[in-house]
Amino acid sequence: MASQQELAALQGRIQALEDERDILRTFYTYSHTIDYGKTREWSECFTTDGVFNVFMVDGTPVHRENNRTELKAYLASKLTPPEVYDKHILAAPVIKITGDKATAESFFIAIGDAGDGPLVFTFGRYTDTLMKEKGKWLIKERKAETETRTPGFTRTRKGVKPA
Amino acid sequence: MAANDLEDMQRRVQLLEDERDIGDVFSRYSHTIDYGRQEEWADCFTEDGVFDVFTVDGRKVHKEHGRGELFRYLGGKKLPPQRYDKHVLAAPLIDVKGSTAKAQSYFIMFSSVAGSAPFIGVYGRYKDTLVKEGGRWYLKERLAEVERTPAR
Repeated sequence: MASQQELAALQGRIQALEDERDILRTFYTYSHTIDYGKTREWSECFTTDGVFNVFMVDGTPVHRENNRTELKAYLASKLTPPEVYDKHILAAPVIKITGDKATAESFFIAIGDAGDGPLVFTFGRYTDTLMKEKGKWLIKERKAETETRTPGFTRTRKGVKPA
Repeated sequence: MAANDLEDMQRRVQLLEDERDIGDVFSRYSHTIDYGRQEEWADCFTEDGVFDVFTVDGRKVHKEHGRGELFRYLGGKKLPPQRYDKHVLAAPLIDVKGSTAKAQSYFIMFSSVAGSAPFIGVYGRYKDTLVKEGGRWYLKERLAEVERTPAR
């Protein structure tokens, strides 16, 4: 018979695998919801007081949202399908979990079309802190350090002040 | 739970952990090469690890053998803030057998040079052999078959 200790150790290992899988699921949900303009679902990838802080690699601020209401307003100001089709790709995630908190570092690459065929319009690095709330992993803060972007490429709707 | 059932579950969990840990090696490889962290990048390989880069028609691009050569190779590369690269690994097919593993995956390198707009630098295929030493996975050999290089 397996001892309680052996079972507890196994449960802990399975929990760690599930936590990492669930964090990746949050990241993929983030991409699908931002790219298809699902404002509420996208904002719910974050905690209620979640922060999305986008800046250039030299430190110049691009935009910053401080809670779900601001996140929804931000995405609502952007062009989404069927006007434009973009793909936010997250790669090389390095995830560290401590109980109900986690940090993650990953790459982002965004692909779109400005009218002349598909192109890579930006890439950089995400540095995230996450929290597990009611069994769900949510982004507490996402720092998006933008290393390059195609000049003049914008997704801001006409009449909206660019971020 | 019977002892046999427990052992079976432990084996299955171990396999999932091994695949996860190999994925972590691939991610650390990308972060460390792209930000010039020479020691950490070389440490993704075994002490005698090989990094062999060649074009799809068989022309040698470069080859490093051992952590010392790997360390020096990365030291000679252009790095941030002069140049930003993103080595993206995709579609990994990983086969673990005990303490060794084989993996085949795609790589796509996105780049920006001297403040340029982003572009796709190269892409191709990695063929990897990995070994587990002291509970940690390392690249024993990475063959990087370059299929396309930039026209610029």
